[in-house]
Amino acid sequence: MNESVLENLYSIQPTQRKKITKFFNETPKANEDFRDFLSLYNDFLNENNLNINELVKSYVFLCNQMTHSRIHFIKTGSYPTENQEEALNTVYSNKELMTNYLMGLAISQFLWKHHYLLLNFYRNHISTLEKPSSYLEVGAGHGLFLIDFIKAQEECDRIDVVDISEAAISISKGLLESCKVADKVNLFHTDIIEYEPTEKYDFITMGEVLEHLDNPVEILKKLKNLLSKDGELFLSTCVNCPAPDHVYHFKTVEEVRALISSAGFKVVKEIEAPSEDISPEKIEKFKVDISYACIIKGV
Amino acid sequence: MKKEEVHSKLQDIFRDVFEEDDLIIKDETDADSIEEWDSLIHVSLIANIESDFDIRFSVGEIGELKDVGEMVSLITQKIS
Repeated sequence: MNESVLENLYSIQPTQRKKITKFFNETPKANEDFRDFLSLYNDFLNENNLNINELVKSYVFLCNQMTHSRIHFIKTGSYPTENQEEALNTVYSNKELMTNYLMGLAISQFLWKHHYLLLNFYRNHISTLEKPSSYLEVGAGHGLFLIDFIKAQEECDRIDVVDISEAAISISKGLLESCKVADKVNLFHTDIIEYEPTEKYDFITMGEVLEHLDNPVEILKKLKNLLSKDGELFLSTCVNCPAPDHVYHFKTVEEVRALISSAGFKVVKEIEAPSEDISPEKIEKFKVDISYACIIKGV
Repeated sequence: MKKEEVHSKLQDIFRDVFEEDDLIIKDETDADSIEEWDSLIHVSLIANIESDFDIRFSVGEIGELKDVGEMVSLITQKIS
């Protein structure tokens, strides 16, 4: 299935071929994981009257959106969307657009080296956790990280998801049902700032949310209060990464670290992954986007 | 501007972006034809095309820029 999906993609967008081919040649495990993802996602797609071709189209849609945003960024030095409210009105409230966007992001976890590295960082870490009894995911989006956690920590009996996007809740729900684990998870369609659970969490995941917020430190402070005493938080975000719904522009990884520290956290481990395999000088010159993930604990 | 003129101006952009003064582009030239043409270069090409022709591509139009022929057609359409 991998090859047919990729050839379909390359026929639509030839510029994708070189980078993906190079990545899979250098990292065969990524190709295997991509195959496993397609197998899992194919069931979800079929159950929702979609097919793999539409997954490819969603990915192309995502790439075109990102290219459009990057061109704006190259010309102006700023992200195309000014604030959270604009992103909510133009992106999050548009269910069809969000669904395409999230499906595209799901497949990007395996086709984009920098996204794959962060996924592996997450997978490796959650496999080492000592049976956390509670888990919260903020902004589950495409739901893949949620599924990974459920598989890695089968005994965790309190799993909650908060997402401001109805489309994301719907996709996560569909994926959970497809994987037959929907009854393990409580889904809350709400703003995390307004979320008031009765108990704290041993592990929290918040992937690719900070850059969507006007005031990211506010959400980090909220999450610090939701973490149990020795709890950990997986956080990911990106630097110089224009997108239709990105509003907070981190210009360097140091800025991200400073924000984390200002919210009362310390970084336990971290990973940086630029989107291009080029020199650090060129990364800086062309303001190439850098994905960043870390495990943090409250201090 | 006629298609031939658009093609000529586009060729200058390609030569500048790829830093190859002798580069010749044809309608069927695409990312498979030029080794250095990857996603990073593609963004640079589109940005330069927009600036030099004083046009803006929509998200949907970006997806139509698969080869030089499509670029010339769309640019000609947008500037006419």
